[in-house]
Amino acid sequence: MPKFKQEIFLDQQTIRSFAGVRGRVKAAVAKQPRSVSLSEALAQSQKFRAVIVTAK
Amino acid sequence: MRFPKLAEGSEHLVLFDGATSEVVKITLPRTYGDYYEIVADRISQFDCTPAEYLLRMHWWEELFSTAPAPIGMTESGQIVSRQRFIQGDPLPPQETVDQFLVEAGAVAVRQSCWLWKKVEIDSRVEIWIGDARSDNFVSAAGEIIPIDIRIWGVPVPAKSQ
Repeated sequence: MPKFKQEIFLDQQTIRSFAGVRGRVKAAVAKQPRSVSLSEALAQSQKFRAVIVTAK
Repeated sequence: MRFPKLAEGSEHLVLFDGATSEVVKITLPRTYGDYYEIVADRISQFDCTPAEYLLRMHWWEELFSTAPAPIGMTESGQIVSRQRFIQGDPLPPQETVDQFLVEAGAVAVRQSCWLWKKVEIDSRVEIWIGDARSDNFVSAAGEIIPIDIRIWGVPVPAKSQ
C-alpha cells in the first residue's frame, strides 16, 4: 500500500501533541557534553554491541 | 576525509567525526530503511524509498528532535547524514522506552515487536513508529533520547460525509 502519497507535511496538531516529549529530549541533549572523544564514543559503541551479543 | 567506524547496522555504516562530536551515517547500498504493516494479522516488512527515508528524518526531527540531518548522497545513491553523538546509557530498560512512547501519546500496535502508532483525531495521517527497541535509544540526563527510529505515515481514509 502506498504510504506517503501527498501526505508529506504533518498536521500542526500532531506536532503540538509531541511537544512535551520533544521539549524533554531537547533539554536532555542540551546537557550533553559539547565534545566527545573517539575513545568515549567507541567505548559506548562497544558496550552497546557487547550487550546485544549477550542478549542473544 | 576519513572517519573511524563506530558500527554497522542493517541500514547504515556509522562513522565518528571527532572534530564535531557527530556521527556520520551512510545508508548501505540500495538500502533506505523499512516500514511495517499488519497484513493478515502478521507484521510484514517493506523497503522504503529514498524519499521515504528522507521523510523519516524530517518527521523524526519535527516530533522528537535529534534526527540525523541529511547532507548529501554518494554517486551510488547512498544517503549521507550527520547526527550529534549522544553520550549516555546505550541500552535503557525497554519499559522506560515504552513509557516514553506512551507519554508521546503513542499506542502499541505490537509492543512485543516494538511497533507503535500515534493517531490524532481528524488527522489525515497516522504516525507509525517502528523498531522502537531499547538499543535504538539512549538514556541521558534522566531522559530517553531516540538515536535510531523508524517513522512513517499511513494516510487515514477521509470520513464519509
